[in-house]
Amino acid sequence: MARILAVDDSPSMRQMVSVTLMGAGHSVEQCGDGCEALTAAQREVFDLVVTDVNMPNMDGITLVKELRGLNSYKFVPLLILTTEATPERKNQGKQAGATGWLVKPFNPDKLLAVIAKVLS
Amino acid sequence: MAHSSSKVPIAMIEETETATAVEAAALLVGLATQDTRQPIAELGNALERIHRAVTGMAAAQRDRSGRPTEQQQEMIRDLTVCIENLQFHDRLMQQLAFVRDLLSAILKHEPLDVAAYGAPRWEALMELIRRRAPLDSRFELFDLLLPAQARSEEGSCELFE
Repeated sequence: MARILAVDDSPSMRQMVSVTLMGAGHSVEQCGDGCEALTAAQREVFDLVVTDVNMPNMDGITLVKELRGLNSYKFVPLLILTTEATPERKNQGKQAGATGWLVKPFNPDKLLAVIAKVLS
Repeated sequence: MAHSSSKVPIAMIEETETATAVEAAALLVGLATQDTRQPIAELGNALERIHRAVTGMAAAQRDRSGRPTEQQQEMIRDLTVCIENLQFHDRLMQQLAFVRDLLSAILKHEPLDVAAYGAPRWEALMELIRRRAPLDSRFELFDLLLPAQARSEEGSCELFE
């Protein structure tokens, strides 16, 4: 099972993502913004990162860019989970190096299926 | 003079009263947001405990008989529904925060940063709002006016490469 970093400024969203992932046997660390997540990611290499986009201090797109700049995160799947769905924003995510773009509200089974796919 | 706002015609409301009303609305939105924080946190914690118990029971059952009972499967399905639908509270909080910021900007006569809502311009913001409007069943009229594609992004997933 994977060690996953869940990043969202909303505590309830973080909790819903964590409940879903832990229910499938994954181990989850939660962070409230991009800065906090970057620090956590530098301390430990996670198997996967799921991040929101609009957050204080550092947004999710910048976080993805920063993570891709680290050697240890070159090939780690980075998923964006957000309410935003415009092609422009998706393209920004893709250019930053995100592995995929999921639109909230997420379906737990679907999220787990996507995670299984990107981890395989 | 104290009076019920429902009895005052709109035209009679003074500019200062409007400003007070906008300020009150901003405060009320902030208060409502704050009021739900703790109950939602408790709801989330309860859901987490239930989820842990149910998945634990289901796993134990699987060890004995190979698969979880019908009742356990039903509970897991219900938990999935809870997780999916509780996310609408998060969306509501985002929208209320934006309304609060909008009201504050009106009071201060400052331009509003619509980028904070994920839109680069007012037109883009209005388009976002129009696209979201049909999500609510009460806005059935929008369903007739807007393409169904607008809703198709919800819960969607796109893997790059």
